[in-house]
Amino acid sequence: MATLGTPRIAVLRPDHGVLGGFERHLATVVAGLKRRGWIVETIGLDPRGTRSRLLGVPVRPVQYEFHADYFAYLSLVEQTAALDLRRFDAVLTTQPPTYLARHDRKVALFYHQARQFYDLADIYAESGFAEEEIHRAATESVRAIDGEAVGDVRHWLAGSDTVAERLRRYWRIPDDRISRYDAPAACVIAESPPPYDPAGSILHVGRMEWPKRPELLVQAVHLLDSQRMTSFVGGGSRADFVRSLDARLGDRPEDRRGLIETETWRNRGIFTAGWRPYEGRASGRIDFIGPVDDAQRDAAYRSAAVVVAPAHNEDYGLTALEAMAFARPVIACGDGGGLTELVDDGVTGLIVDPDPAAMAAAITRLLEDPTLAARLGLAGHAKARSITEDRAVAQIEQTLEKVLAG
Amino acid sequence: MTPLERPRNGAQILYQAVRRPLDRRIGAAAPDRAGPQPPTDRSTTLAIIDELTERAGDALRDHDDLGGLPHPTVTTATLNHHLAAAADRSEAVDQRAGGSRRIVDPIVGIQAALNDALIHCVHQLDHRSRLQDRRLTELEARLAEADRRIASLEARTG
Repeated sequence: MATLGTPRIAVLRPDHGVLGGFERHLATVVAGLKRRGWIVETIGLDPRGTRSRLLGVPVRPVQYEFHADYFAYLSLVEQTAALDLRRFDAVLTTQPPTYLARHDRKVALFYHQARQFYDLADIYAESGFAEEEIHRAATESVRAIDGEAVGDVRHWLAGSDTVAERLRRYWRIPDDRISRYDAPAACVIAESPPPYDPAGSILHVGRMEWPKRPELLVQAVHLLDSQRMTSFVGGGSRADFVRSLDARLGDRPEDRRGLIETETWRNRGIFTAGWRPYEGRASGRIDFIGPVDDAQRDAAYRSAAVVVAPAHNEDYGLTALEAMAFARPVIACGDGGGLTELVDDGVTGLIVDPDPAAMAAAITRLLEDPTLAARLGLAGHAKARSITEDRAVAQIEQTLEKVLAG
Repeated sequence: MTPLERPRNGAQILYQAVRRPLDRRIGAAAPDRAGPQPPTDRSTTLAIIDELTERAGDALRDHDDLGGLPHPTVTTATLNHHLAAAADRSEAVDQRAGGSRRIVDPIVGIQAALNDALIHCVHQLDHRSRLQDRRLTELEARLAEADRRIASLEARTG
């Protein structure tokens, strides 16, 4: 560290009760900074902290439920604004709205805004998560509130070009205050790529949440001629909806091509008014494994022939990077956001239209051409090895030093 | 009627009641609403959103609760760090000065003794010098007396 003494760094993060890719990466960053001699304190914010009274305004439960995401965000804003961070020399902000914290030396490790009020605002309302008029007001409110303090952030470490573009589009952050930041895969990457198994499964890894779009892969699986088994690793609030869709498509061939997006992923899943779980048996084509530990996840990657990441407009795409770490080819969609930056079409995987038939065709192509699949996997392995934890932590360290020096 | 269109039964209501808090906890989706909300709730909610927007802006701009001062460029933590470092350096200087005194003090003692001895020598020399002056004066007086007597004798012997 170039600064005198040992500066104290606060790391701010809301605790949504989810241990996802970002949370795991942040823990790695904090540990890395401590190893390099920084004094780091993580400060958690509780999205469930306050409900009945926000910023002195009484909010009745019926109003809170009218747009729970908005009021939960305001609760985080209130907690963030109340933080006294003067004992810290610099602040590393993470998920929204921690970048609003009051401090002169803020560095943002940025992956997204509160997306339902920004790039996902329209499909959020269309999917039925909030009443349109209320959501429009909530969106304007969040953007006005964010606009109060995002200009104070000294530097933005953007987790992908996709999210860097959102910084420019919504907040007009100048290029000289944005750096591209590459998070490494959250797994050990062997020097030699694991052997490719052409008879392996079709694999999906990730929480089943809106808008990660696991439903698209379920549709694609039911269009495959191959009877190759598909594994879904991970839980999530849409798991029951996705299982129900699998059962329905297994029973009703006429639905395999006819469903529209509002029936598959652009909806509130099991919370859609009048939704009933399909009362048939699972199709037997998909193994819903559920949440697993790291060793089980790694084993799933090793036993896969192809990994599919069907998410809509991802911030980064850690799943794809993990698949590459195990030298597996990845299929992602053209509207996959950060996924399309990691997956180089024809080099480390295949990019397809967000359409079940196109996805099924890509899966078939890789299953029928193991030479191609193995070659894509090897290229992915080399890419994953080039993105290291040391480089990521060093980039954060250098940015903090620059902010502390200025 | 497809299975998806069947009316909700007791088990389903219970199922969703269990899922609602879970869903809310992970922030994935708003809970299901039983039906259209009364217009008063919509307008009240919109009014609350307006008020919250204003208050949030105030909370983010308002620095009064931080002592009426904007965030210092030099933070308290930095200042404390430098004060502690300065105190450490001062103590180190004191310790070095103490060590120096332990070395210098005997030298100063020796120097004082030498000064005393020198002064004593000077005094001795001065004393002896004065004694010699007096002796010289006496000898000169006796020489003058002798010269005078010789001259007297030469005058008498012619």
